[in-house]
Amino acid sequence: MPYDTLNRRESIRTLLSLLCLPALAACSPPGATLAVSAHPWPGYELMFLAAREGWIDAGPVQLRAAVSATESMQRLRAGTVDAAALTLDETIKLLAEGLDLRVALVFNVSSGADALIAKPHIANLHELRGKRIGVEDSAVGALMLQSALDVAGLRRTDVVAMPLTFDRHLAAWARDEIDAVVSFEPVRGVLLREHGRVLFDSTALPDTIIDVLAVSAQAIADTDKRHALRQLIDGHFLALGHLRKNPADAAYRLAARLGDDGPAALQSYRGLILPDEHANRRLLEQRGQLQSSAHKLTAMMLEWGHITRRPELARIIDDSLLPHAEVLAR
Amino acid sequence: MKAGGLFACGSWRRRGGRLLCGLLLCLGPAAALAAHTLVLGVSAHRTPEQMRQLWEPLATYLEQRLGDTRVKLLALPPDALAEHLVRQTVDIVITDAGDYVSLRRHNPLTSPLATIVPSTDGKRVIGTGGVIFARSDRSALHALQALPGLRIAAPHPSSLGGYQAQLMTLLENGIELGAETPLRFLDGAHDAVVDAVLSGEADVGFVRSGILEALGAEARLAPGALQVINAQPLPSYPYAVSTRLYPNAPVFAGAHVEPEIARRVAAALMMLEPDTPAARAAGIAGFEPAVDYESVEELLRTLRLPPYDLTPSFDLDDIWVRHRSAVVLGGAGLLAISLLALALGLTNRRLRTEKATLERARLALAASVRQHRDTLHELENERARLQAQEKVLQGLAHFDPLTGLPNRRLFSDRLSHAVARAQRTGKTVAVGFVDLDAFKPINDRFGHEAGDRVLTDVAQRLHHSVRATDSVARLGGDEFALLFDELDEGATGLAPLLERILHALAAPIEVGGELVKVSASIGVAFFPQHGVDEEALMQAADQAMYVAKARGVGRYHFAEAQPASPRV
Repeated sequence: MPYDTLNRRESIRTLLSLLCLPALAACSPPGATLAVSAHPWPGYELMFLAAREGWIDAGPVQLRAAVSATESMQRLRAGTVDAAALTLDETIKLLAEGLDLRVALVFNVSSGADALIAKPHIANLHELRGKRIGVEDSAVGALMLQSALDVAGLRRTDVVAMPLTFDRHLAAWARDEIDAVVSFEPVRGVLLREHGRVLFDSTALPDTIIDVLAVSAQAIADTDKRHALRQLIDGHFLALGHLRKNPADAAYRLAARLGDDGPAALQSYRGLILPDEHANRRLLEQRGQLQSSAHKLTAMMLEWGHITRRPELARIIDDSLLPHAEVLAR
Repeated sequence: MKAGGLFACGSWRRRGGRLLCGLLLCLGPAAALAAHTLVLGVSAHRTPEQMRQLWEPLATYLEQRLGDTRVKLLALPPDALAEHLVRQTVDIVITDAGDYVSLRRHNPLTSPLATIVPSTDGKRVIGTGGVIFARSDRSALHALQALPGLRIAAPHPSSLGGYQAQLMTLLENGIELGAETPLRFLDGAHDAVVDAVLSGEADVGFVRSGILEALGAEARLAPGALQVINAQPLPSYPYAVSTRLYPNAPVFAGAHVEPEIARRVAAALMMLEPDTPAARAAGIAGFEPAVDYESVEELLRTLRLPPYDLTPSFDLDDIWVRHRSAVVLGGAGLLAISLLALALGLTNRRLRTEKATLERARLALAASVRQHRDTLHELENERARLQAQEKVLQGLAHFDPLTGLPNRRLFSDRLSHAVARAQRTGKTVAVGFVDLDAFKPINDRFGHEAGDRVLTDVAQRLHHSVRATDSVARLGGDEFALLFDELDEGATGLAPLLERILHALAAPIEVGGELVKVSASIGVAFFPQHGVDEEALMQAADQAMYVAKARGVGRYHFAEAQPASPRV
């Protein structure tokens, strides 16, 4: 089962999240409060920053750290949280399972953070023929690999795709078990310093690899939880504004959960587009970019067997929780 | 220290003390030999000796990079540095970000060339903050709330990390130090602040992040001697800090420095590698392209610190002390405004009444205007009718009502015009006198109505027979007149035309169911042969007509003294 293994972007946070385990102690089913699950990832960290800075009211909003996307997905399935921060393909997988979810916010869009990196002796994509490529068994991993092969005019069978969870990328590279790997920050940065070559990256797939806030339709229908969701989303944008206005302060405060130090925390945002309120409105428009990305991803996931039934995509977007125009103007 | 500034009269200075250069010649002739001198000013947050140790290698590095330029280090307390900047005796400045924003008010064109990147244990540090600290043995002091009323030492009011950041943190936590808190500034010296707290002269000290660690490393501060208040949980930040972090110190060029020099200095700064003597001495990883200092400006605006300190305080005492006259004037003004408002209210009421009256008058006036407009319309109609009538009357005056032909009056008018024209052009004019030959019997036999029919018919035939330039008129009864204008050939040319007219008139006319034959006699006179005025011509033509009639009906005759011409 592809999604039972450690997912993309998960393992980096696994250890870090353990540090935050005390925060998980208060684990109650959602009542009047809105429970939101998220694992450590730069795009999701801004709402945690907002909560720590008091920009989100701790009463109605309960942020629950997860070790991985798999855990967040599990919590949504079990109904112990109302919302979760996930990639769009993970959201589509849950939709295909029959969950009634809405995308209420785009945290970030990958623009270069995901890349296919090869050993220095491989000069271009064509030379990947017959080579071993480490790739996570996820829709995004498959999408990156497939798109890279398409550019090179290669078929899937022309290369040896090795399922490799993210936490093993560096080791496999060091032991020469792979010739190339589909990975992302911060592994991307490390491999580049070791003379790895980026042969393909997510700048070639604009607006495709997207991290979103997936909210259960039930929570959106609940007045109290809607109010809490608005607070959460407003808080995320406040933190995003702080990152833009005072990156020095934001960097070290984000580093508290993102692991390394301030400069490294800032580095982890490189290659990510962080859409503000206005950009979010555009992305979440009906028949907008997010919807077309969802259709594209769904088609690929069906083709590659990540999902077996086509989910209903017409009503997955809800932009009513984004800040109102008067908030945007301030 | 001050002498450093005196050496600075390089060629890049557009203005600058000539007096200073004069002094320079006396004091340091060696310096005058250098091609250019660039003064690198640094804000002295520690002792002069320490500042030299920190930054002298950077001055040397810049000197090497710039080649032909001497770089002079000038470490001064913030106020002295500001003064030098205004006098343009310092060129490149490294100072605290808060200081920079405040100094920039002297010239808004000053912009940072680069931002310092400090380093600790080989790690870049990209933010700087403030520390609020007290001696560890002051056990009651571990919350910000305890600060008001305590003796506080701080380096300088323009220091971001040594005062402003702390103030902001206090403000964010709803704490105001107020006037009762004794606050001492120590001329920019952070070390002195630490000493003041350690010696008990001050209860609480404000310094920039990193200072305590630096003193610890120099063994000037015993570990555990101080406690940090409101310590921020930033495990990856290498220094203790009590406030938010802000951008690191900028390097900027004075507005008087030529852009080319600024460019070369900036390039040199960017090229500084971490593991070089200059970088090691200053404790920095190097420099990065200048970051955005908007967060610092916002902080200063929020705190209303220089350069955003112009908004007066709203404390009442303060207002009274500083603006007594304004307050008195304002009070008087308020009173005046109140009285005026009362007057205005009364006036408004009166105006409302008058407005109602006016409204009624307006309605009456509107009705009246409507009425007048109707009258005007009627008058207009009447005028049009009169005009039409006048036209009819005019027609009656000039035209024969029965035949529509010009009458005698109009004809004689036309004739006199034609005569006048012919006098100028030398051309010939001819007048024809037409008399019907047997009109009376027709009138007698068939009645007046039939007679009128005949006359109308004759008039039409005459009208259609002549040329477009000729005129036909009815003189009265059965008499008609013809005017032949601008004749070129005299009588010779006229004969065929007269024949055509007689022929046209000879055709029978249906009257009362019978065909009657009408004929006419025509007498013709020429200008100027038979007369030079209208009367004479008409008379000559009349006589000629009688001659024609005497010779038999349906003839024409030219007046006498006329050259011989064919006769019918």
